[in-house]
Amino acid sequence: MGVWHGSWDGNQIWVDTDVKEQYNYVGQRGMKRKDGYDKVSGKAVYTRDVKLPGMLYAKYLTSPYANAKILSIDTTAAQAYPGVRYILTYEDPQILELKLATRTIPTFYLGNRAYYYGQTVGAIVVADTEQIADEAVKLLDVEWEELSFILDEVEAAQPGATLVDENQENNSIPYGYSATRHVQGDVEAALAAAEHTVNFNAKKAMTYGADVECVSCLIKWEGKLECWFHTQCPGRWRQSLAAFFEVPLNNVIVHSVYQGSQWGQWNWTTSQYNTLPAITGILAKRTGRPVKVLFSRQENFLAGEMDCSTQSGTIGFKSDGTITAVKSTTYFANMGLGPFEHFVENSRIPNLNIYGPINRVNKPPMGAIRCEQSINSYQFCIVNDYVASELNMDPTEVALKNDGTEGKDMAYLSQFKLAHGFPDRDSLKECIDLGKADFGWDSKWHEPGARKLPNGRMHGISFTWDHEWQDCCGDSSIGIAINKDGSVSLMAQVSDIGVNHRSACCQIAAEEMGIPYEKIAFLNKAHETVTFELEPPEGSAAFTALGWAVKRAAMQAKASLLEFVCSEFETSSGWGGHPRLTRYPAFFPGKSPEDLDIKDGVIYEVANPENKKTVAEVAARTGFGGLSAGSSGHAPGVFVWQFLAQPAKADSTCNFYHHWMCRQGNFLEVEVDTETGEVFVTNAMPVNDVGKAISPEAVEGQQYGGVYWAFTRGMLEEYIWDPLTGVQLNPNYLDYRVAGIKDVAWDKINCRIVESGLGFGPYGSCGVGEVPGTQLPWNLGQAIYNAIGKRIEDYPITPDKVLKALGKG
Amino acid sequence: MRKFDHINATTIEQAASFLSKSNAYAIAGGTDILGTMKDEILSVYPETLVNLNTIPGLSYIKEEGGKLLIGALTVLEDIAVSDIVKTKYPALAQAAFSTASPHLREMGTIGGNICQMNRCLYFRSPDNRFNCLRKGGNMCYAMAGYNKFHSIFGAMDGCVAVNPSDTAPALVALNATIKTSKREIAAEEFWDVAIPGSTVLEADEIVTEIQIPATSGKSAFVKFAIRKSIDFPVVNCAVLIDGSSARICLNAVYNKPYRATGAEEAIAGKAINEENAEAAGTAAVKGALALQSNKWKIQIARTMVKRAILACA
Repeated sequence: MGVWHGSWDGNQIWVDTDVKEQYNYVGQRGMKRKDGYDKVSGKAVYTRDVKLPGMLYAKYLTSPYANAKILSIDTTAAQAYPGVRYILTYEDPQILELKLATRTIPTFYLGNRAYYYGQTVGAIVVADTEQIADEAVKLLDVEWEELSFILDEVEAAQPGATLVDENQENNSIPYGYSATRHVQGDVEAALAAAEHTVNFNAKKAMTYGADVECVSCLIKWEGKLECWFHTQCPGRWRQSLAAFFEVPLNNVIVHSVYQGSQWGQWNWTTSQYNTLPAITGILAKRTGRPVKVLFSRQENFLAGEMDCSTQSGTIGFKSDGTITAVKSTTYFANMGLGPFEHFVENSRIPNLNIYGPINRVNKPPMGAIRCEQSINSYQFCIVNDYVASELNMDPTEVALKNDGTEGKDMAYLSQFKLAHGFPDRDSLKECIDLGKADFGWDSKWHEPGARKLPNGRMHGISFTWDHEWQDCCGDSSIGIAINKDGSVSLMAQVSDIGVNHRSACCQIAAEEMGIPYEKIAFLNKAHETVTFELEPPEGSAAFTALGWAVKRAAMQAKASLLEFVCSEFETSSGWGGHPRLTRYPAFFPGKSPEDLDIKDGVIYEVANPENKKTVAEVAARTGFGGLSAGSSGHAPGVFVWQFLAQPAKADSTCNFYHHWMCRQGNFLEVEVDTETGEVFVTNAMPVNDVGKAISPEAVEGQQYGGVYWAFTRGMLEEYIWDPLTGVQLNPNYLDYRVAGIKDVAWDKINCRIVESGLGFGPYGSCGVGEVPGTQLPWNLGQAIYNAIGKRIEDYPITPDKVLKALGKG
Repeated sequence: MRKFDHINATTIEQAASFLSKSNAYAIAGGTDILGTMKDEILSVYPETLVNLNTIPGLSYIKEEGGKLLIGALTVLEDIAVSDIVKTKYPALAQAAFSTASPHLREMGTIGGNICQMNRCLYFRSPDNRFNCLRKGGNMCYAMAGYNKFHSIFGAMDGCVAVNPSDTAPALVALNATIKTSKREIAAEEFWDVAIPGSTVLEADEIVTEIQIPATSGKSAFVKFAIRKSIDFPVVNCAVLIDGSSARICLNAVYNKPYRATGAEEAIAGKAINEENAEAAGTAAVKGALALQSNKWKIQIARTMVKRAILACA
């Protein structure tokens, strides 16, 4: 069992010291997915599938301009259109009230100001059908005042730049993710004294969320307020809706239906940012009918993005590869995280001055899509690779030279590990050793631009590393009931996020309770009103946090069951005012719970395994499942619930409460066609230390998915803006390119898992979901450099950029 | 999508009659027209779609009278897998196979593929956001805006949108004839039209058949696209080398398929090898004129010509 550490800096954290070499269910392959049938058969219900009697449809007005103010809206013609039921505008008092409840740039808001092309603004029309609503929106007579706009995050930071908001003095974001500067040591002195220095410049284009299901929200408000919403945090939305409409929590239901995918951003933000459920609720209340808002793919494309940034910096380092200083500035558009965390969290670099100003531009609101760590990770990768190439060193050696935490070296981390019950293993070295051997790194390594293949292409390889930043934090709760047939119900609300984590929860429960995996079900809808919520606020750390709650609850359920079988018990039966009490002997008379164990659904005496009863036999005497005819009564059933809160790793100023110890190393091999600029990935090997792979297939699913997103993010995805009008030009999957299933050479992806036990999750696990997809894009630039000897730090790296670097484009 | 009338035509004549009415469009596979309607890219929304699929007898591939005849309603997948086409006219089979995705190839027809409207992010911007030259406006937004995928051989009537068809250059290279409800048109002239047109077809004129003369020459088609599974070409190229003559056509480099006569002269009668193919590629892009962001396409065009020629070896 884990220990509750009275730990450092006044914080406490769970650490699982009860780890084994081998488990019956945890870590096993071949577990039938609990959500598999629904998904592959098409039975899975999404918000868009839900249709209710009398349901109406709502459509927003959207801005045709990159920056504009609505001077007036005449709704007369739209109101008169047959089938139109209601029109809500920015002048409505409740909308003004909603404005007060929001901060930053609210998403799906209904104000009179549009800050980007396609922004929902001004009015929303409710009608009998989606088509009628769409037609009626076109009939709104809107008087616009078009304002000047700005698209570039660096220009937006300059004095005298065009203002996104005419009421502000400049474009600097005054709220939310504010500009950050992290200073550690004396960078200027360190750079002056450095044996070597090198500069870097890099850009990353805006990335779309790319959810399978577009934004969808349905609210029915008849007595209870019921909401179906494409969201990562249904339980939190329940609280937000209750608070905004001032209705009791027990009168609000937020259903957790399938979503297809979840990448964060507006899905997890609260009503402070996202006003869509509130507006839908207002419409449902006023029309007295269920109201559904469905975004088109085009509207979805304009709903929020990530990654837009321009960075530059200087690195100081020694001849042996030791990095002594990093100084950088990264301009973000609308949102960003100053890219210092990874330098602090997993390096021994003593001197840092990392600045991340954020400025508003006339583009959609940014959010944490597909992990907000991407630019952090990018800069970290650049620094390692630039140092390696300047010194003509193997980048894996540079990595090992600089691994550490908070400016301290591996000796410090070893002490930390041992002091807190972890094994003293060198995660990065294990990742590198495994990856180098399986990848054939040493035989493939060469200087940049030095190897031309027989097919005429240039060969390149790269290595990047980082920590596994998806550690365990957040709070989760779950209920577990043992039914009278011996089956087990896990009861919690969880969104459709990640790969197969409902099944992994069942694996943990099976492991801890000794009950076969097949007998355990995850009842996602069972507690929509009570909100046992298996969803920490940091969705990135979902499973490693919720897994703790499952483990604790399962252990408690097992303990309760063993307590029950060792005790005499009473049952009550009868009806009509004539209850009858019957007393029964214990199933295991004279034994205590410590004498017993459960395996494969059988309770047995450890010292005498022939003394046994099945869980089903025992549970038949308990109450869950109701009274059966002719029975003589039932004892209370086993039902437990658990809550667990795991603290975040650090506060907002990067004061760390604990260290992340699991590492990753990513190896990539490419071929570059120098006549077309095309890049072919011939071997991608993510090596992830996940502490413990509770479901190896789920880990690999995240690795495969991550590599897929890495390539599509690194080589394809790019919003296109018209520089003359600020209009976004490619809001569709044809012109905004995301790789198709046939665009990825799946047989070239070779996933590797390391299990060091150095995570803060149950069984020493840590998360992996966001990591490969956020880290591996940066391998591309380094591998292409190794192939052609030219740096291209401008993502996505498309053929035109490769040709330009080669002097051909 | 807004409402529209949908009429199933049963004869060519009937279809032509319906199309002669204002604001009516033909639909076969529907893979282009439905997207334009859904996005509302046109300044006037189509009122009527005249369905050609219900006209019998327009889907076939056969050899007759020294020609390959392909019915206009033949879907691209059928052309891509046809043994006759693959064996004798590989450039066309490869072009059909490289078009879109398997699902779209099963829906899209050869007639529709050569009649699709030009591509430009401004022209196709949803909700008719840009009233560009191709829509009767007075400016080409791409000329001064985003033009990474646009023409490298100058503007036609001020427009730099490109013809995106994969089969069109193959038909030009193979010296095909487009038979319509009114006439027969040499493939090379089929797209020779001023904006806003994409083809020379009159409003009530319907493509009925593709005719390709038999050839003993070797042909090939190559395509460069950003995304391999489904994408329009950055540049594609079809080549027919028949004895001492060569026909070479690029597409997605100009408003219409671009016959690379310079390349033809450079390779005609010469051995097909790396050096000669390279020279032909260079000749093909002689006179190319890059816009602000599409210089790279000149290099791609040069390479496509070279590789298409080498594929004929």
